[in-house]
Amino acid sequence: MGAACCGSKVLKHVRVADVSRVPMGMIPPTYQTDQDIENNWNKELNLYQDSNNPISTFKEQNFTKFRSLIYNGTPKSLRFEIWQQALNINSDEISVENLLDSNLSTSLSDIEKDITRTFPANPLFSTELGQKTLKEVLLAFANHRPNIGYCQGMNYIAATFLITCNGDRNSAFYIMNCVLSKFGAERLFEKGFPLVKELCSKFHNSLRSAKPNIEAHILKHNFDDALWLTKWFITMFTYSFSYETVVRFWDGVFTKGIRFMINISLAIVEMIESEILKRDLPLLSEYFSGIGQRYLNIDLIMKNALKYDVQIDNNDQAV
Amino acid sequence: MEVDREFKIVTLGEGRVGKTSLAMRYVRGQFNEKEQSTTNANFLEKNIRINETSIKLNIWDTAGQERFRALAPNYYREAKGALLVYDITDKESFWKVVSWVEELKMQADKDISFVIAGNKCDLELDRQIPKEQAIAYAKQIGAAHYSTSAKSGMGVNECFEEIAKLILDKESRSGSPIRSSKARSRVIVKNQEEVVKKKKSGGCC
Repeated sequence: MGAACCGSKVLKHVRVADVSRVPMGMIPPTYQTDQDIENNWNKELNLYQDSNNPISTFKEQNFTKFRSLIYNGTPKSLRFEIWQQALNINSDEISVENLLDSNLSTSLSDIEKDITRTFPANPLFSTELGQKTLKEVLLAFANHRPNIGYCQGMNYIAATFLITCNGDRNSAFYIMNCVLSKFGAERLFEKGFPLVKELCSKFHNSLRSAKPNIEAHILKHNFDDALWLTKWFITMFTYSFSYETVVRFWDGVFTKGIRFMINISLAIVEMIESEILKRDLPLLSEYFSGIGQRYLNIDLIMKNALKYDVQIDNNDQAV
Repeated sequence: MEVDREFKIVTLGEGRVGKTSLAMRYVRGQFNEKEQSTTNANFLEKNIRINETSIKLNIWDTAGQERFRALAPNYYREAKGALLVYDITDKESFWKVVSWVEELKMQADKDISFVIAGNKCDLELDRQIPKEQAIAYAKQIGAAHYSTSAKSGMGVNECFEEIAKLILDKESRSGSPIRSSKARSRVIVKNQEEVVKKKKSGGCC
């Protein structure tokens, strides 16, 4: 525990078993549960229990440990608070209420088309209240950043934040605005999708040198980025992976920067190498559409993600 | 199974008109009332036979939002056929089809064959686009128009197969049918989940 954050280039290549063959519901012993992660955090936070805000004090007093613990996973009970600390959320800057004027936004009809189609099976978004809250978060952002507006994909990101903060509109807006505006994720949605294109291109360059056989297979079968990789990036993994998986990826992204999504994607692809190599285009497409329902050893993905030497811009690190 | 031809076709249209639902109904025989919104694109494949020709349809199902075109211009540039979908209960979505027709004429392969589908015919009571108007428009631009419902299945096979027929016709007229380099003998297990949900058919037009 704790060591996963450092030495990104020195970790040895780890041979990965065919994870998809692990029967559903059978959790290998290496897998950290939410309880394990919570225990890790409580052990640290106990050192600061006299403080008014132990998480904030922990961050101030042992920043390195704070970061590495986030990278190793945040527990459900503390996740949102930790993320807020990690991302320096300042909730006083903007009035969300003032951003809800629907006349301002040309995005309203696009937003309305998606709110009932965003995680429709999730209990939060199958209620009218949950859908209204989601709509308001998206509308507030579109009004706050009119040059970006609303882009399909943001709905899944906003929804993931809302699930994490138990449906609190303002909290979800502040953190989403921070991740998109300050953290640089809004370039994912800019006209022409410049950041998505950059991430895809860097991903393929790295895959070509790390795993030329996978890259060659993808090219040979014309497995277009539009069908998987662009979705992973635009929605920050939320469209394709389960909530529990996404929050672990985000723990990594919030500590390493938005471009760390490349490392995570490389680690996923390498882990499912054998599944990829035996499939042609239609089967690849089907497999990747259902990847969220498959068991993925997330601890191993996060460990392996550190070994790729992708050029990461330090400016977009959060903590 | 020997495949004689392989055609790439795309679904195009405004968001939430039912592009994904039509493609899923056609290829998998399924209808999901709670289909998620599409990000960028999906891919589905179906083998069909038209007269003596076996055809593999590669269906690229695209996201409705305009700005996604910047990410994958290839999907319609190389397509031989397009299904232009509007929602009969959403007037705006019909005008989007009109703009797609203009766009395809300008940018896509000049020989692209397309069909217009007025979807959600199970919601006839909420209809905003008179059927006659849609048919008249289709006639004017020389395209076929189908009334479809991904929910009931009405018109779904017909509209996709019409596209395949149009492409075939065009090829035989031009006298240079292109035999796909990728088409080769192989077995493909597909459509095993045919007819999963049988919905009662609505009072369609």
